[in-house]
Amino acid sequence: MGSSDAPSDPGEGAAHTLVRRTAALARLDLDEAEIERLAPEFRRILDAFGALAGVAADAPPATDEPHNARTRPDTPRPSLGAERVLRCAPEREGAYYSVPKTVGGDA
Amino acid sequence: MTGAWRTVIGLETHVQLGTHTKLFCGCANEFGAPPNANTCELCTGQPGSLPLLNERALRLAVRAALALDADVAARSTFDRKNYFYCDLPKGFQTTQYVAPYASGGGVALDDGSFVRLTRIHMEEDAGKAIHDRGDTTLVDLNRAGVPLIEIVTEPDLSNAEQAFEYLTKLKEVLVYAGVSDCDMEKGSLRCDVNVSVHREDEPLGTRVEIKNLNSFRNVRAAIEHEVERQTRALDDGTAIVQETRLFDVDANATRTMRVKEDEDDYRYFPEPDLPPALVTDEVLRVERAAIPELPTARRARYANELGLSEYDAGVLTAERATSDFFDAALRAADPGAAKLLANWTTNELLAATADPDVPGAALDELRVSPADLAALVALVERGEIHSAAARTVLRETLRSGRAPDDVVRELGLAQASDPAEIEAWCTAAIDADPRATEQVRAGNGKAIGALIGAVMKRSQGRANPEVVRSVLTRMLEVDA
Repeated sequence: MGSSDAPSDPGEGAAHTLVRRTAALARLDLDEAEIERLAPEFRRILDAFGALAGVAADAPPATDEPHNARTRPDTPRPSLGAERVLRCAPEREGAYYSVPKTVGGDA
Repeated sequence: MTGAWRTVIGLETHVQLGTHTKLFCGCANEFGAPPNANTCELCTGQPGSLPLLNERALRLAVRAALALDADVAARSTFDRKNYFYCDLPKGFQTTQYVAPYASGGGVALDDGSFVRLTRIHMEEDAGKAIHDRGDTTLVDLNRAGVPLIEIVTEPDLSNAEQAFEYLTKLKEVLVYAGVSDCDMEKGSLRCDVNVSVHREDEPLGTRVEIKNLNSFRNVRAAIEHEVERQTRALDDGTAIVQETRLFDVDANATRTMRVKEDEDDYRYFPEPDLPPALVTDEVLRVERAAIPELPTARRARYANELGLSEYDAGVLTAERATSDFFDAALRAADPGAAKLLANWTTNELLAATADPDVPGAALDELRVSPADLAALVALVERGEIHSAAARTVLRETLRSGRAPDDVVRELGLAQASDPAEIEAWCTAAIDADPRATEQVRAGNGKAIGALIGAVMKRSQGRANPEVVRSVLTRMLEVDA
């Protein structure tokens, strides 16, 4: 199921396809009821972006381009460290994050 | 369908830049740190954190492009490459998709061909996922956000050997330019290969990408295997599937990897949190000036101007430190001493760096300076010390750091050329070895070597071997 299956202006069926593809890429296991619920939402989001694209075609070019884009010096700053960042982790093993294995699965 | 099979290869090489910190945050860019020690809000994808481009990463990227003769864009932009995977918690990789910072350039190969570069772009590295733990994957985000450049070639390569040579030369350039250590064992340089085969009178074949190549040898082996696999399949009438394959080192074979996102699935869009990267003429000037003479040019100079062999030129330029040391010694020496200097550099000094008893594990850490080596070689050239004595001097200088002239004086190693002094050693050697003496007198010219060796030993390497030979032939009344 490639993205070529999903036209840029999907009808309801194509919206279902797009939901399934997006869920697969995000490794989400959606059931049919969830797909039914999300498909119209996807459709509305895509319609909204379609409308924006129409407006953007007539938009003037950006004028706020910086002339001296900011960079930062290559100087180390203290990191948070493993203990602090791992507090947010649902699961850990030692100093590692522990997550469900996804390698080998279809995206 | 009568044409021979042709192979088409393109390479994508990821190179970590030798910065102190990551591309968009101040966490240390450090290999081997404890897991997740070098992480912060930004590189762990916490809401509200904002990136800021590392100036040195930009400078090193520019230097790499200039060293590869690429064109550097005055303005380049960043994009988000969206994918969901545990090695990049933000859910996207910040990269340059639409407007990379460099394009063009390339690498010349010894067979006269030229591997063109399509583009070079900056991007952040992903974290490290460890998969050998049953149903779970362990994640270390120290590498997430480390600055990379990705160097993409045109499909200009046609066999595994060319790919090997391209990578070898690419690495040389980047290491010499101080852009990266390109240490594949640390993952500083990683390579993906695109391979297809087709009949020479037919359109290009289906392209297969091979990942997980962590040595140049594996790149060569993977290409050789993949070309064989594809031609065998096509000969059997089986179509090649466009896919990503992993190289299995143990099996020496490629196998299908997880199905990968299509290009469209990445939903690239402009990175809203980063302004364009701007490169001024001043930055170009400074970074161009920071590029030293590159190894290909050095090898040509060594061969053409100094008369060194291709082999010696290759050994001298294999590491920049060796070539820099040799060049510095050359500046302090007589121009005619180049060959001798090269021999001493490649034989004695490189051996010394591997000797655990010698202080210093690299040429620039040794206690012998380039000027010391030039002085030592000058002593040999002027005939003031014999080469055996010179090795003794070098060992002492390596140990103590004392200048070669001082060591020669202190150890009394100046070559003895006084016939009277040498005659005394010769008399002792003749008395001690009547058998060799008889053989020499009987016309066995080779036997004189034993007597010369005995004299050299008695003189502790000081006797001038030519004078010794002359004295012995006179004393034994044989022809020289």
